[in-house]
Amino acid sequence: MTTITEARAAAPDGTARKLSYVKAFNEGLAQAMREDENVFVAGEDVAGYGGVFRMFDNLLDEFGPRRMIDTPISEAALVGLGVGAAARGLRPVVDLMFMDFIGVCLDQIVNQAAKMKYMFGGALSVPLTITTASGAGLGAAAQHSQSLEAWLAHVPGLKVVMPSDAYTAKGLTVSAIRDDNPVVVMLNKVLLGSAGEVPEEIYGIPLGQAHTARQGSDVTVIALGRMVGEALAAADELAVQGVEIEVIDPRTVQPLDTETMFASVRRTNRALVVHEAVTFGGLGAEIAAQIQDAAFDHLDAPVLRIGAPFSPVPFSPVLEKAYVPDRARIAEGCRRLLERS
Amino acid sequence: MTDVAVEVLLPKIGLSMQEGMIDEWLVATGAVVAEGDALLRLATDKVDVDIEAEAGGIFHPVVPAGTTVPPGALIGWLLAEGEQPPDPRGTPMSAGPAAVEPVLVGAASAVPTPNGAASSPNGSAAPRGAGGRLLSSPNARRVAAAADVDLTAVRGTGPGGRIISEDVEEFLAAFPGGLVAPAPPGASASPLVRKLAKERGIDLSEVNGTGPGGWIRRADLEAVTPTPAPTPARRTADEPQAGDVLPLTGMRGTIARRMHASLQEMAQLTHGYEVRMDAVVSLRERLKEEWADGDLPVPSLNDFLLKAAALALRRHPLLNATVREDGIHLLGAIHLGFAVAVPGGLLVPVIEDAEALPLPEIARRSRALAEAAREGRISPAQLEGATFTVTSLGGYGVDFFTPVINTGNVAILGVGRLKDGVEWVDDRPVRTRVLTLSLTFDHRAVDGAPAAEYLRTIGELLRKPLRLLV
Repeated sequence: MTTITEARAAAPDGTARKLSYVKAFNEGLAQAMREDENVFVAGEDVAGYGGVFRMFDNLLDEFGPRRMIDTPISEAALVGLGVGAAARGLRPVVDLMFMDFIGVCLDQIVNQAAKMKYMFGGALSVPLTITTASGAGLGAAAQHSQSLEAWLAHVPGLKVVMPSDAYTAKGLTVSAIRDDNPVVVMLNKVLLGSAGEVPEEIYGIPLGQAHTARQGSDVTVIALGRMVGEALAAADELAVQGVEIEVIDPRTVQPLDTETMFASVRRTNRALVVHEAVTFGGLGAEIAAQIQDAAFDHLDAPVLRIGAPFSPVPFSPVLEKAYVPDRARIAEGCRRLLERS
Repeated sequence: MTDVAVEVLLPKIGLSMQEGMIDEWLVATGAVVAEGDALLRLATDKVDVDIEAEAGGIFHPVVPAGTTVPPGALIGWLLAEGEQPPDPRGTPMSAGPAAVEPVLVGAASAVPTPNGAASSPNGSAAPRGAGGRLLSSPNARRVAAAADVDLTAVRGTGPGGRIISEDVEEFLAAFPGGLVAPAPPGASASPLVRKLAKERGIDLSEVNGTGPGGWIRRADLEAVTPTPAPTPARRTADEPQAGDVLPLTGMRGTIARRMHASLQEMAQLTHGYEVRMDAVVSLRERLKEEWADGDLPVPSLNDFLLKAAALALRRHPLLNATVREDGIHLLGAIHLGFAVAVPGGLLVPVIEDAEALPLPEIARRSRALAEAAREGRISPAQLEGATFTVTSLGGYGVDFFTPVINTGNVAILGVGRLKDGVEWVDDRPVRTRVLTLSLTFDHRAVDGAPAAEYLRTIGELLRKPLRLLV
């Protein structure tokens, strides 16, 4: 398996290829399907239509209808199909389209996929990948905009990854498919068209390993998914004012690489966690709790959480913009942590 | 009375003040204070001075007497009736109308209480309220513990006034020695009280402290002894006995440090120069007669010399300078310091813009400043900013000496004894009045010839002293 560093070093300066987030996902999936013929895709409109977000474009042409399967509109049946196929030795990729639809198939995910290996004493495993599009910002309203990673990360037996850019969209997808356990890949809808450097060859990104996206000395900002880009933008803004923030992208929220966060916080003495999901009971609460537990004596300020207010995602574009955290709120939060009278 | 709590911060008096010790709180905890009331006696490296309240309110100390803190440190609160200190570091009052009794824990000794609620780790007697808490970040506490800093002396600048690690680091930078522990466990008292107790043979552990946190006040000592003719501490300190060890602290320490630094860093040498004083002496005699009933003070010989030195500096700006890394800075203003011997050392009050002042005004100021210095009433601000200094040992019968330049100046003028001299007029000796000036100058900035020219100018001014009057 190629490591991140190797993969990145493989792209010579100036000749790095840029690819959009959704195309990077598509390429990683295609390469994983070529790598292992047990990999197949099932979902609503994934084959003939190529997915509503164009995630599965052209895959039907290459892999044919046996490996690209359009299913009826029944998420419970679709995930159940995946759990069964995985238990029998295949490596299914099932697509949930909008993450919000997870409500109708939670039993399959939480009680079947996540529990099966444990309850059969390790006699079988469930190498299932669930792909889904999450996040607000497209005016898709309350039932098509949620970020529900906290629900899933709470369940032992599941892994949850949140690609923050094109590079991680490909690498984390490949690693999810290669993993022998159920992994939910939470793609971000707003990021789908965003481009980034992506190596052409297949590569995986280790699950449970956080990435320090920017180094800094003043505040540790732990950002999930799309918030990584917002945090990096806030970092640029703050750097002008002489504030250097460190941005950590966990990439995987379950398992969560807390050691990288602790080490950073012990240096900066201040931490901010930002995610799109509702603040209450979100991953920020978990991360903040773990930081105070492990690095209490190194904190100069309470760990600050930035997330969505306790409200459904509004349909009004104006309200939605106010609802989702952005670079300005992150920068303001950093300033608050550093505030001195 | 204030509407809201007002912070009492340790004032910075004078440019060079780096720390100050709260010698004594002059009002009791919970007492109602009016604006302008004397709140505390502050001991700096130069003087003891009473600090007035800048607002009215109910007084609550944050740090006990005897604590040494840097300027700007939060030392107390002035609160409105029934109000709690907004910063938990203050001493909250018990609720209710009789809210004048502070609730204190961790009193006279640093022995942990059975429930483990010991006083702070370093045994500080800082007042803690029942509901209050020192607001500090965990990291600040970690850094403070590592550097042995007492957080009660650190001013918090974080959110809500919380002490953050930066505050501790800045405190350490401003005060590298760390906080002077107010007292060893079991003897919580100011140095003054400890000294008094020692003189009177009182064991402080036997004394019942009534100050904040069981702090022993001077008054508590009186309760123990039936006051055996209270010998002022200052008195004994003035008259050192053989076998004493005089600590290099306070004024003594400052003198030691500055004089040593001066001789270390400058290239000092001294010119002796005799000046004729006949004209000054006779002018003084006339003034004594003419101004006897007026309200103009008759200038002393020293006042004439101050004025002459100042006027001469205007013509010789090289002597009114300061040497810095980038060069010799010639100073615009002429602020004359003059040395005054005081018990235990010497002080140098400053007359600002001396060359512009008429001589009676110089006389009035030098008298008032010298008196204040001798009586310990002088403020650090009145001791700051001299650009040139005049010092006299004439009164002690000294003719010539080698004064040491005050750091930051390039010269100091010593004034010797007024005595009879001789001038030969043809072959006939004539009696004159003379004195010797001892000018020490920094050869880095001033050469021998210009220094001599400066002395000559003074000599000329003293020969025609009417010019000095205005």
